[in-house]
Amino acid sequence: MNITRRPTGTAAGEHLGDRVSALVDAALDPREHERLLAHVAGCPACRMAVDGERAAKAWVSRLSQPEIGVALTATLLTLQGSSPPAARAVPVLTAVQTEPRAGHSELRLGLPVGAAATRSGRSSVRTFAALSGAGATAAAVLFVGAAAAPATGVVAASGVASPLTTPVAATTVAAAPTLTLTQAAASMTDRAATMPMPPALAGAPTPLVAVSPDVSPAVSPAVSTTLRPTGFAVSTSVISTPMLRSAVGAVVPGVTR
Amino acid sequence: MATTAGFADGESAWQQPSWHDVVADHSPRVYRLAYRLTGNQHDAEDLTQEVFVRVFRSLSQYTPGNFEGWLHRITTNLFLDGARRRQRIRFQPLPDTGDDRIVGREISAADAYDLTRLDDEVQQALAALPPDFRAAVVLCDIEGLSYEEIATTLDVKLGTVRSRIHRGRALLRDALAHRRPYAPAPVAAGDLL
Repeated sequence: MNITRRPTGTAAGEHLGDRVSALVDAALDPREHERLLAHVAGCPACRMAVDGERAAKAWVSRLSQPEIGVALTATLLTLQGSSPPAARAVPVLTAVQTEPRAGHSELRLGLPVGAAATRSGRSSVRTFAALSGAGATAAAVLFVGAAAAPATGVVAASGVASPLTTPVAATTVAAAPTLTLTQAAASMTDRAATMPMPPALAGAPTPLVAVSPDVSPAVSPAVSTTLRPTGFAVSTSVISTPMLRSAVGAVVPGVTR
Repeated sequence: MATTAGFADGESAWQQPSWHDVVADHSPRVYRLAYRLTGNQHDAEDLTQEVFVRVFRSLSQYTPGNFEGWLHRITTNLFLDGARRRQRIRFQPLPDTGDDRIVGREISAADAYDLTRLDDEVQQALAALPPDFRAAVVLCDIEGLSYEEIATTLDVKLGTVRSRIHRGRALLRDALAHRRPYAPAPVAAGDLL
């Protein structure tokens, strides 16, 4: 502890001075803590200081906790789904279980990664549009939700619509009755819905994945249950992080100092 | 910044989390921290994205250990970097030592707060703090970090953490003094010190 003590001291002991914060935060060594508490018990001025300090601490610590938006979560997931040149032949699929979320009963279509830049002039969105690679990559986000769902599964998929690529079907481990689907552009969606599973997904109980805008909350549990076994193996086996990492650095060098 | 030491020791025992795990497990917390640091949704979202770009890029180099501490450091430092850039012209850092004054006021148990308004007012007062003070207060009172952890996060000395938290709280008390209408006259610093 490197504490600058004030030249204080009375018959009742030294006043708290700026140590009132550390006292309230229990950041003092036990002996000093006890000594100061004993002083506070007999010193009205220091007692008031402690009360004021506790009030300030309580105000901040009781602030409400803002929740991260679904759109931002989806955007963060697309970081991995970005398709740098080195990884263009490998579509990326991710699945994630997010926090319990209630009140998303509406069917929402939106937040295409590539189109986001046209919808919003915000630089951060443009950054992620750039991360998604050249125009060959397009993605669309489909949110399907149900009110008061205990959990929300997110499936993110993006790929490059190149004739040389081998799209990987979208999978998810979400066991929730609600699905939030992030899928590639329409063409990618169609292919993903009809392509057989690549070897990486061998063992999956279902070779086909039905991903379409008319997926309803009612059928979601069945879909998620069917797809469960493939799960996280997709993203970890299909693409290597160093490859993406270097590619991201190449695309947005300014973001990463 | 993660070191290149990387997985020298923990490669076999520690498995790098998948990206979706990282986002699912940590983005709500990073966003909350970002929101209280920046004070608004727009900047909080930008900061959160900036943090995860950084995390994504460095994840494979991350040394197994205190992942949350790592996120705290990235988030707070990116925020402070941005705040210093924006305020370089007009922001004069307050000295960390010196003229600290205690302004003690009594809290009436009868105070009934309008919680929504209080939330707004506290956030407003928090946002008015100098960024360095705000970061220390938020890490202490919202994230619940110890002074030692805050010192590590901000890369400052323990005494600096104390001073920033103390001065930050004193400014908050001043800004929110009207919340305690029955408070007695402030105790002059000279009476106390």
